[in-house]
Amino acid sequence: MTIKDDQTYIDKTLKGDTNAFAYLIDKYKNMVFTLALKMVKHKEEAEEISQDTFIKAYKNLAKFKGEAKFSTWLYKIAYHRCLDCIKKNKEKYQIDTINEITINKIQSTDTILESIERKERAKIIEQCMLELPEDERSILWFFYFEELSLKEIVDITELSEANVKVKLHRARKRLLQIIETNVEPDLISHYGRK
Amino acid sequence: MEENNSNKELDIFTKKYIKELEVSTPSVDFTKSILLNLEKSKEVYKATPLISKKMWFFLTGMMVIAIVYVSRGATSLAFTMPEINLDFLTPIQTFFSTKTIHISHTTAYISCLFSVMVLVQIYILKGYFTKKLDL
Repeated sequence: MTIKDDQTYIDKTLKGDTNAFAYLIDKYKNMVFTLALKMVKHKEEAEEISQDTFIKAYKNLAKFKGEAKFSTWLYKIAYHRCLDCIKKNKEKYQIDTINEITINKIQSTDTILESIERKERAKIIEQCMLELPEDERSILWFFYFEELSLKEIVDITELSEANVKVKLHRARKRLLQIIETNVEPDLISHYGRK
Repeated sequence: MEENNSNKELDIFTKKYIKELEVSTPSVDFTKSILLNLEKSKEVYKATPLISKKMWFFLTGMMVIAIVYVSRGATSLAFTMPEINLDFLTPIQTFFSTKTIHISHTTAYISCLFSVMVLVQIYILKGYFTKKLDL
């Protein structure tokens, strides 16, 4: 699907065709909901935020100029809506300091994770990601899963490019550390060292 | 050099495992809920005028009748208006007198009071609706 397709449906929505907007909702709802769930960690809240995102998008559709992708614009609304929600329930994160990361550490963790079944592994990574601060979590998601460019991430988060790079760098290190700290001892005892 | 290599390895490691994660799906009636919500919000914000068009025509008609009746010279008065110095209207009156249009004191009173009434109501109504729609 191209940007042109989205623009066709946006134009139809602006003319009053709600079915056209329904098409856009169906196309992007999983994406928006996944981001919201990653950030707020609560299914009902994530659903509410996702619905609010689409409602806000509908009411401000005339302001969408088409300079960026519609998905990026939606992500931006959802991201900031999540941040507003999270501000109310600010969590304290366990890992504040990040230890030095070596190639050996990465390789040993990689080896252990490879020995686990894929579904189980995805669950583990998901749980470890939830221990990251929400901004680092979302940036990892945008960069690695959605494969957005730094420019798009800057547009969504309204952070500077330097700030995004720093957060991305920290997030990767923290994730590895969380996997090591929380998961490795259990995995070692369960699967044994290779 | 070591740090660059470890950063590269970490990048590959992170991408490999995050790519394995799955997208979550919302509830089955997600789209339907949003569309219903949008329909409801359209109804809430539908503006209906306080005074309908028919009422405006009626009021204007009554005003015109009253002005015509007064300009022809009413003989009995229910009450007398207090004395207000309307000398400021003299230049306007002079202007209009040369154009063969006379504005009586009564018409002047009515016009002033009506303007004040409209301006006050607009201000009050605007404030009321701004408060009501301010979510």
